[in-house]
Amino acid sequence: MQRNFAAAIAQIVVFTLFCVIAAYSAVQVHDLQVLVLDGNRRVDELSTTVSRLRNELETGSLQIGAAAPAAAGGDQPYARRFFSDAQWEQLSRPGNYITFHTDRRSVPGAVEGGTIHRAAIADIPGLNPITQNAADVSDLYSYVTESLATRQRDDPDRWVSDLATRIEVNSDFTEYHVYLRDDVTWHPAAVDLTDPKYAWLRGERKMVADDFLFYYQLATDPQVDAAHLRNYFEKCTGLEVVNDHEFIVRWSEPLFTSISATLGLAPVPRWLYGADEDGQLYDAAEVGRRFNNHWYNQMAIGVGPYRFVRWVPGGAIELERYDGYYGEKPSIEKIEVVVMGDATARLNALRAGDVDYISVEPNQYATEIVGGGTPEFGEGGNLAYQTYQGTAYRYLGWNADGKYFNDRRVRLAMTHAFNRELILAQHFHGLGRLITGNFFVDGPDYDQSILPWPFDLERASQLLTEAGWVDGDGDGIREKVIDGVKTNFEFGMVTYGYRPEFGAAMEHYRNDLRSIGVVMNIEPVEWAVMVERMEEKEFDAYTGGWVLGWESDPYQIWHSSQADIPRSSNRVGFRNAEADRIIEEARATFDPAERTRLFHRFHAIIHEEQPYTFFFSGLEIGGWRRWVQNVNFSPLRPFDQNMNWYLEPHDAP
Amino acid sequence: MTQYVIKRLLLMVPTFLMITVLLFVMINVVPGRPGGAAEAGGGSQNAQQSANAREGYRLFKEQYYLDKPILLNFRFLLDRQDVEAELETIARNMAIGQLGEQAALEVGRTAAEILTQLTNTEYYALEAQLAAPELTPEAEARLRVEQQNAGFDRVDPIRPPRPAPGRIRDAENRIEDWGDEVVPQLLEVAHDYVHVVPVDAAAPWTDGHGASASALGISPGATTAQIDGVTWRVDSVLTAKVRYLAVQRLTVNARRRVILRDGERGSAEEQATNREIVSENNRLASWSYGLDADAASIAETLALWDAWYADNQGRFTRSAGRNAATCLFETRFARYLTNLFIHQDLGISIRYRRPVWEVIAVHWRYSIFLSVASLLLSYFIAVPLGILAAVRQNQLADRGVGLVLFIFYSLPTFFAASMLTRYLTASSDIEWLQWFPVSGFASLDATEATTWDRLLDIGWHMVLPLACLTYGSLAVLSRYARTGLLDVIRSDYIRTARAKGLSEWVVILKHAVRNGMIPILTLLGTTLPVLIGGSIIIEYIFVIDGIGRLMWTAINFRDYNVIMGVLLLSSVLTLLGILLSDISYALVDPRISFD
Repeated sequence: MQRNFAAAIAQIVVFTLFCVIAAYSAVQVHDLQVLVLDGNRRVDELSTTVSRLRNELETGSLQIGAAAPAAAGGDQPYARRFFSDAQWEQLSRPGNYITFHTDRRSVPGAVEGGTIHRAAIADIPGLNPITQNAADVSDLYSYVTESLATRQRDDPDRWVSDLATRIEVNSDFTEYHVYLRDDVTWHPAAVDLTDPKYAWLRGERKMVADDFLFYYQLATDPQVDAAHLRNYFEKCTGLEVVNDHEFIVRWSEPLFTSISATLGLAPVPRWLYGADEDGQLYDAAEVGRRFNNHWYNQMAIGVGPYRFVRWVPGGAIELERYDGYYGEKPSIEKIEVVVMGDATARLNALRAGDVDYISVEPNQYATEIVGGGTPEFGEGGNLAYQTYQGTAYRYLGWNADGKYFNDRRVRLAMTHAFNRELILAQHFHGLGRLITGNFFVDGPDYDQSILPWPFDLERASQLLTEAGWVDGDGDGIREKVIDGVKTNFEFGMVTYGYRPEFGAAMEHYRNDLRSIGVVMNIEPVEWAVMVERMEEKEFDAYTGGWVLGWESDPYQIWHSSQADIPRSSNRVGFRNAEADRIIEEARATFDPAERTRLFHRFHAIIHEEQPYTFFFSGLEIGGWRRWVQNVNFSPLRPFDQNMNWYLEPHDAP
Repeated sequence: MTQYVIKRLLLMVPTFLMITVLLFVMINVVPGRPGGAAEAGGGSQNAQQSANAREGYRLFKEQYYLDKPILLNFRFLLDRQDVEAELETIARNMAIGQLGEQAALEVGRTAAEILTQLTNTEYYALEAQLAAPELTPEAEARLRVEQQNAGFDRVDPIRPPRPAPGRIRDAENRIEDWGDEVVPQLLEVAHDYVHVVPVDAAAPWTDGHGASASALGISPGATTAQIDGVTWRVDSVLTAKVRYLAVQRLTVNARRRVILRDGERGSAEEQATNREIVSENNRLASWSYGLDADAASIAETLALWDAWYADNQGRFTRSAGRNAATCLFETRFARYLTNLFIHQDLGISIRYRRPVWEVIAVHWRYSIFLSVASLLLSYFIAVPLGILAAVRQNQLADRGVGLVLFIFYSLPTFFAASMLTRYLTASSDIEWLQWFPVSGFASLDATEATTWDRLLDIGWHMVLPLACLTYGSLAVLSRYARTGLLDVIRSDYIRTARAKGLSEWVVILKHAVRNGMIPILTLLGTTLPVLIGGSIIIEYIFVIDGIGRLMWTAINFRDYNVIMGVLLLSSVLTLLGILLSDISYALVDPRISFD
């Protein structure tokens, strides 16, 4: 009994001691962590200050004593200071296809520093610069890397210099001679460079002509999973490296799309993507295959104003301003992108201040902003929003190879029976503009003078009668004898089932069609199935959408040669000899004004022929915390790039 | 007991196999195909272009074994006719006009138009009336009806029928997927295919068929052939196209499969073999000729192929044993099983291009944290409530608990989750209710906090998701607990305990609960699979990157390997869970024995 008692006491004492020691060491560790983190923060602050000072020195907003920066002479353009004398001479010598930026990244009065949190919509599977073509990935790369030249974001008809200082083009645009900047350095690889395993990645590397050759080789390598890029380079005959800072791109025939394809060339480092994790270069025959599943695919590298820092699994992708960047540095120091698939979650995160900028869904716009569901968007609230013109458009496609819609009059009747204005207002919250043709509604090629066909059921029935569709047997449905068989006008409309607003719109349409003796059956399908039916052309009609660029080549969607190809984009079987001629002529026309004239004619043909019932070009909505300043949008991708935005100082939530 | 467990474990093997087969077949036959792989450019009228554009897609299929049949491979039965049929389909889609067909077509079209006019006199008479300018709408409608009744008989111009787009697509995919299994057939076709048509054929485009020149006893360049004493015409255009296509296909189909998957390191030896295969494949790629090539260069190309075939005959000789092996092992399923059991590998995710293990591991930890915590939480809450309800059976407490829990039970999760995020988080309009973070597993900047703060942060983020995951299961669990206890409370030994004079609480907690909770303990086993299932709704609303979200993306994307991996893991856990619950019966209840 006594022994047991003593033992019990001893046990208790030992246990208590153990607990005390454990608690004590936990507290110690905690204190230590606090100290370390505090130290880290101070170092960060210091480096922010240093880089701000550097930035201000470069941009000339900070002047020491009376010594004004030599480069910023009185009437010189602002961009001059980011070029050496030799580079500027190259740029401004006549015969250069590109010119300098007149837009700025740091607007006067911008506050330096801060982290912007943005929400991405779709899950990002990887960051391979060539095989990943999701919009979110290319948006991310627009911060991380650059191309030879770019369309200026606030003036898209202007090609401005990024990585190239000079591009000489021959008269028929089949040869481009490119002169690169000599002061561009690659970001350090985003691995632990202190690890001896990655010793081979240490040290600074310059961007050279071979990096562009490598991009071209990968993009055109049949083994690389990049079918989306190969189209652009189909007529490119090769890229010849002259020296480290010069190369020549050749095209087999004059094509106006060669301009954007050539000027849009971006560097991809062979020293990284051409090697395995130990730094050993792949065999030339294997590079393509190895590249698809490359070990660096969960990370990114570039030469742009931001460098990729890390991608926390299940968390944010972090970018940080790159100190070695050659050009004007943006104001915001860090960008963190986190994937939020659910629209409600995105809006909630914005309200809570977890993210600073999101894109708002149309139905949220209706209920939360216009409907007042989120009062912070109102006067005096801490959220702001803006709508801007997107480049995508929606349409109804009619299978001209089928028995119903091979007649122009029938397609036109379908357009007249489609109450576009009302449906846009009712089911799409008025977030869009009715369109009449296939070009970007704010771009140069769209002819604003062409007006939409009005909603007119009477005209629609008249057209159907003219086309031979009449109700002879009095059952309320029009019919026609096609190849000796009496056929009722009853067709199927394939729609993507996950978009409820399209279902509702088609429901409306169905009722209007029924009143003029046409039966439409709505066939909602899942995306994977829809793609298959489009490819096999197993449809009478479908609802679709295209995303456009500032300028686009109609060949892929509208040329008759594409109509008979199973997987082509000319799904509706549009064949028109004059349209074909215009497309071919425009492809070899390099005078923008002349091309615009041709495309206006093309637009008129499309409007007459009505291969599609063009519906609307949607507006996009951006929503942000008011502490984000100078928010502006561009008709170029990414529309909501925050390169020249800045953040007012605010407390982290 | 041990014997029993071993028996059960052994039984699990065939069950698991059956599950694998079922899952595999079901996932693979669902319509649609993996979304990452754009099947670009195929169907082109130019075969060379088409092959180049398709190369990426072909490699993709080869990588993931999608070019093989699902369960059984009978491709050794393919003969020359099968290959010819597919090649003819593709040939019929090729651009017209390369071999002087254009003029013939033009003549046919004009003739057809004249014939149509002649055979539909009544229709065209009405058409002329309709063209009159001063027609009233009523009169027009009447005439249209008359015209309908008159009927219309179009005489179609004689034009090669173009196969349906779906058919072309199938043909391209099939011949691509057959790979090197049809190399001998292709070579034969390239040498002596002829397309013969009866001289007086009514439909020259469909009445003809492919044949072998040598079997007919004619030279490959002959223009007529005698079959059973009747003269047939050789369609030189289609013949040339099919032969040309056969050689084009050879340059792709004769390639060998690389032994290392993209991104796989392999030993130095394997790498060397791989390189050898790749360079050999690249060499073969150029052995073709253009459609307008002359006889000499065609013969030259074919000679290259003949020499190559003679060297590689071993690859293509068939025997019964080899056929059987092909049938069973050259399939997607066999490949999957080999990977699974021999390499303990779930394959590579089509979407993420990383091993499925890695992908699941990244997402799993979030789901498992949520599930385990919610499981514990629901037991801690539901069991005491169940006990309370049983002790106070049919009294206010029992009824109250039942009512509240069933109201919870009938609240949909998405509704509760949305309401909670709307009103109890930082996004709430009411300032003093902004208690919890909106979403995420932890704060974004949590990496820069101390361990303690980080734990607190995660706990803080998890309150609402856990509440949403838990409240629904309370009703069921507490009912089980209540019933279990009620069964026991009425038994003799409880009456004995009470008779001993023990206090009511001691009777209930010490004697009744121990036995009354047996059913609920065994329930625990069957909840194991939930651990990996995750919850799509909760994970979406609270932006947690768990298995539920992974699964949803994978299904939409048809990422077969990930779907398969997750489902297999959860079926293994189900099997184990059932076993565990059986064992736990025996452990806690001495009356039950498996021996």
